[in-house]
Amino acid sequence: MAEYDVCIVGSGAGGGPVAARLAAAGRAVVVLEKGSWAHEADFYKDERAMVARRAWKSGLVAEPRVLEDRNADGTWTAASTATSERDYWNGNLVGGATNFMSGYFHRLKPLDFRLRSEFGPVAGADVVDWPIAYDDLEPWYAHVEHAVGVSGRIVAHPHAEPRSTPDLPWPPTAEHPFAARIDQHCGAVGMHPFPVARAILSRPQGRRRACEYSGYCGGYGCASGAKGSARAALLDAAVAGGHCEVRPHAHVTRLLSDATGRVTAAEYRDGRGMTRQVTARLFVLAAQAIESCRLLLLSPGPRHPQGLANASGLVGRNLVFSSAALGSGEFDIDALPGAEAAALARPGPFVNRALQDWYVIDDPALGGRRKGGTLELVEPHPNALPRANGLKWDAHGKLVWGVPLQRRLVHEFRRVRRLNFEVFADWLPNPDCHVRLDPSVRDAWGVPVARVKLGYHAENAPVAAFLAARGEDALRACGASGVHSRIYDSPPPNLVAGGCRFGTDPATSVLDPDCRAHTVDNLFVTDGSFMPTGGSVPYTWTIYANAFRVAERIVDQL
Amino acid sequence: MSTAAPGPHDDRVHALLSARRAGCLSRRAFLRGLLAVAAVGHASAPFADIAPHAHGGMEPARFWAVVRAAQAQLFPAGGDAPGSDDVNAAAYLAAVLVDPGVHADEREFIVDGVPLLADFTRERTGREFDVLAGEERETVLRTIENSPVGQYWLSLMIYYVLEAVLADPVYGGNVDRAGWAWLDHHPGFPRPPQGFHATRR
Repeated sequence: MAEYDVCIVGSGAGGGPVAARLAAAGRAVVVLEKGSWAHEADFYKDERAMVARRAWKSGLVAEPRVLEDRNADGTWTAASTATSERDYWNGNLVGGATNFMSGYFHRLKPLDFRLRSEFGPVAGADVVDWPIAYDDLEPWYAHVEHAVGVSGRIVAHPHAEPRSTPDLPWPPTAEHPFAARIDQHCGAVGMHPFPVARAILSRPQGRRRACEYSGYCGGYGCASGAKGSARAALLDAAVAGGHCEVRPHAHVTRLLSDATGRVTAAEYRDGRGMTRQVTARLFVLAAQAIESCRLLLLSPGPRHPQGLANASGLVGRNLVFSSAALGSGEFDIDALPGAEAAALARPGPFVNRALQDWYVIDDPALGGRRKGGTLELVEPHPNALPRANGLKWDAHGKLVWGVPLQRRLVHEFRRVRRLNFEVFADWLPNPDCHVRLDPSVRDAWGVPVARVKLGYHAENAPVAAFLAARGEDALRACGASGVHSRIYDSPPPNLVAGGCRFGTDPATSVLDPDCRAHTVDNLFVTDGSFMPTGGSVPYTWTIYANAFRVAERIVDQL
Repeated sequence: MSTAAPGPHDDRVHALLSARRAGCLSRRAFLRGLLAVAAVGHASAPFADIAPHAHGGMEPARFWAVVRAAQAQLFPAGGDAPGSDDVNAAAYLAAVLVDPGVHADEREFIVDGVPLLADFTRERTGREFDVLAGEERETVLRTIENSPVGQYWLSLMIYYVLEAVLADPVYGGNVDRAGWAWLDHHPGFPRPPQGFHATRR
């Protein structure tokens, strides 16, 4: 007799909804979380701890990953993050990375579910249609708006996706003075800026307070509970309801399966280093894409010699990130209207504007109709250390110090205000972007670590460059000077999906359309791993929505 | 190095740091390697002439006198800007040097650079770094910057002065919020009641 109905590995955007739904249905749920269990009272706006000392993240030396990057000459270099100190972890705590998201919430669009049909094949990329359509997920996007708490205001624009409800349940958060500037000036040049939905409460709900506008949002735990982390929005209530147990400091090292191929237990190391097991009727894996793939590969069994759910050999394949570009423009604070300048004195309110005029690009210079992406217009993060530290290098690679450095600091902090943009575009799944087990590097407990190959498809670049150029246009239209941007082919770790793509054919996918492993009938994967393509928006809303969709299937099954 | 923005020589220095961290290089071989990078990159690089054994055993008072003088050159008081002493930058660095949240090799590298600077200054000028006039200090530091090792050391020294200017005062720098007040920087809330101490990396 299993101890629990359901055992969930990971407590973020993939695990939280399943725990909440099954606990509400009266099922006995246990959530195993590697990190600690922090609460609102534990979160401070301590830049040194969060930015410079990596609080609430897995140790770089204790838990390395091996990252493979392509060199300019086409060869590859692999380096352990224990030595490179490249920080490739997100949140390591109950609620996972959702604690530290900025909460820019976008739905995918109907065409994101059928990229192959819409735009045809891309040489060297494995683009496929999803086995479900937007209409299958739409009710769950709508559900997330209430369950997690999404604020904003729905405005029609040419690429707006269909909705089953007219507007968002929470009114918009307080707006940064540049929002009105963007609406006016981008609108005047034919662009369609629209308010961005945020997973941030503008009014209190239950035990969660409304946003307090401290300015330090992305990268920080939320002290008010306004941010819709899986912990604040879902797990706290699930635990209070009595059917959900969360075990922090439970680092799952293996899923055990029996002679029939079913998963019987999760083996984990507890906070004291003791190896323990928990049994359940059904298991849900949601440890974020890279670790979920690693855990499946670490879990061969009698019926799964290549690793759990890996009969196809596809576990870890088709990992996707987000193709990115960043841009910035500045405004001389003395040249801004007095009221606007005064309102800019303190950080806190949000710009909350995006442009999706180029979600599909039809430009002869780019070879005709193709998938584009999203331009998010954002206030700069108020973090001071990275901003100050970047000023110590001049354009020739020499150090700047003394009075010249101090002048630069005064200019950056006191004389100008910036408006930035971020590009979100599809990261084409390709054979050089995947997760495997490293053959030699192990973590502090002797377990093989994830080896991640970060292959960037060449066709990502022209789209990112096109969108970055439009972002520069938008900043200039708003009156910014010193506008610049660059595109990135090395992905940050926070926008990661794929590795266990879902589909109808067990030969070409790991999960079925309900996100159940094709070859393990009591194992579901509900983090971003299921996504065959990533779309051109941040992933969190989609992961939340899909996890609620899958949770309903699990309720039906139990 | 998560704390320092990349500079032009950092790749070569990082390769050595990485090899050192991976256990492929002894500490002595590591330092020799750093010096060799300096020598190959810049024939006249100052650190290239200094034997690896010359960096040990400074008196603590001497060590900190050199650190404070270097910090004051990198971040002087003047106008409305708080200087390195105003934000307690030397004491702040002392805490960094025992902070487990900073990689041990980075801390060692910072420490090792101080006697190298002191020795180089003595060879060039016949005097101690901390008794030099501002212009002489500047000349020494700019000369040191010509070597990739020296530049990397200086980039870390600047970074930790900036932490002393901008980190929360609970960490011992930014005295009376002098750095925040100077730059009109708003730190967000709630502020930490005590410093966060990393326990592992």
